[in-house]
Amino acid sequence: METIDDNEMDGLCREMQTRFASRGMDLFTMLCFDDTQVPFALATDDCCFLVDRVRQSVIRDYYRLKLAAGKLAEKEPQARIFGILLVGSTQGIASEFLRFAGMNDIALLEPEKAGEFIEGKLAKTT
Amino acid sequence: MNKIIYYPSEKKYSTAGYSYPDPDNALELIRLANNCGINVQFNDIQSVKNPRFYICRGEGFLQLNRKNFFAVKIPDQVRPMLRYCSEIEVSIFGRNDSADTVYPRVEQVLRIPEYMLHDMTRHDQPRKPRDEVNAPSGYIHTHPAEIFYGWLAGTLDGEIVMEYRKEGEIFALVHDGNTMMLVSFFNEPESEWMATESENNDYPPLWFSAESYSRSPLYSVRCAAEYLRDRGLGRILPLVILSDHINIINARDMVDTWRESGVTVCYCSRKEEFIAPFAEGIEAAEFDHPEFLFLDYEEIQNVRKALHDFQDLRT
Repeated sequence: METIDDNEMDGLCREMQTRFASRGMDLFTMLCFDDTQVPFALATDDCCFLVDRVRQSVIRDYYRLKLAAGKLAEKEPQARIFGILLVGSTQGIASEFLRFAGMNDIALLEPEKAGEFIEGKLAKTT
Repeated sequence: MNKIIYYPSEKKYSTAGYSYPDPDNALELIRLANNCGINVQFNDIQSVKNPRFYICRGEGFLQLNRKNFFAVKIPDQVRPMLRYCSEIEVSIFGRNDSADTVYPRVEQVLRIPEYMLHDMTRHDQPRKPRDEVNAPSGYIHTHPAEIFYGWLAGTLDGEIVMEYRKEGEIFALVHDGNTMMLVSFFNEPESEWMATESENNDYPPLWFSAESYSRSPLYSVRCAAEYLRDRGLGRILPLVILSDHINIINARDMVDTWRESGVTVCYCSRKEEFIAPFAEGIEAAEFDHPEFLFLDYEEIQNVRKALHDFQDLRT
């Protein structure tokens, strides 16, 4: 499984901040949800994107991000929470799992597709 | 290296026109030794071509030819080795070569259905992918069905009433002398799984690993139990037994759903916060459901018949 390293995460974080600054999105880094840490999040008043990467395994990190999203949803019940779990490649991940994750508002994406995903969701929620 | 010398008593049976033992092909299991890694050896067997030794349902079987098997009673002290160790050396000698004081042990001649030989055979050939579990080297993987059946064989009146295999899945109707159980086993090669139990657009719930997925093992037993309950046959414990190498990463979240569904989810022998070994799980379920106790053999046959109908509906 290809993974995203720290430098790529930092680069993506800066890129997203620049790309969505004009859309009124705030950047939050190193968010803590009990024992779960999420590297960064982009949020408007009614929409939040938690962004993390695969570190141990797709399943375990999906579950961790899902828990973090659930905890944020408890604090911000009116907000629509999405998770973006970055993977080096989606090849090798069962399409059924990708679909299941998507149904639970967690997208497994390659880094270059993260911006497009956020654009799409913003367009639907605004 | 552990060595156990076993001198069982003599017993003689006659089946299918053959009488065992007789001077030419009398066989005896005189030594069953464990040495980390399955390695079955046969020495000096007369009149038999390519004999093989199988461990099946916790019992040993010696195959003499295509249809005839000797059931070899395995001493209790050897059972844990069969379950957890990776090599068993079996030496079998012809009667004439053994000491006079050692009597042939031929307990029973069985006819074993072909299907039992596929998954249950242990020998040193390459394993099928399903058996390639992510386990430390030196550990031999045993199918949870084999472990459960072995345990069942050790109970006073335990019985496998029926077994159904399809596409790698095994379902069984069994009883342990007290309670009827409908059992499904989860034995996928990957170790890390996330369980889900909700159906989506008429698709059955799925369990996911990093690279694959599988239909929830609870789903079939839950459906079968509901089918039986609708027919007034609700005195049955639905049970899912996970292989000990399986880690359900969201077990904490699933435990209430499992409990509500009435299905007991267990490991073979591993004990975790939310998943107990099956012996404990069954005991707890029997305590929670005293109405399940006390077997009615007519009811067992009715359940069996209903399950046949249920399978026909599914196929």
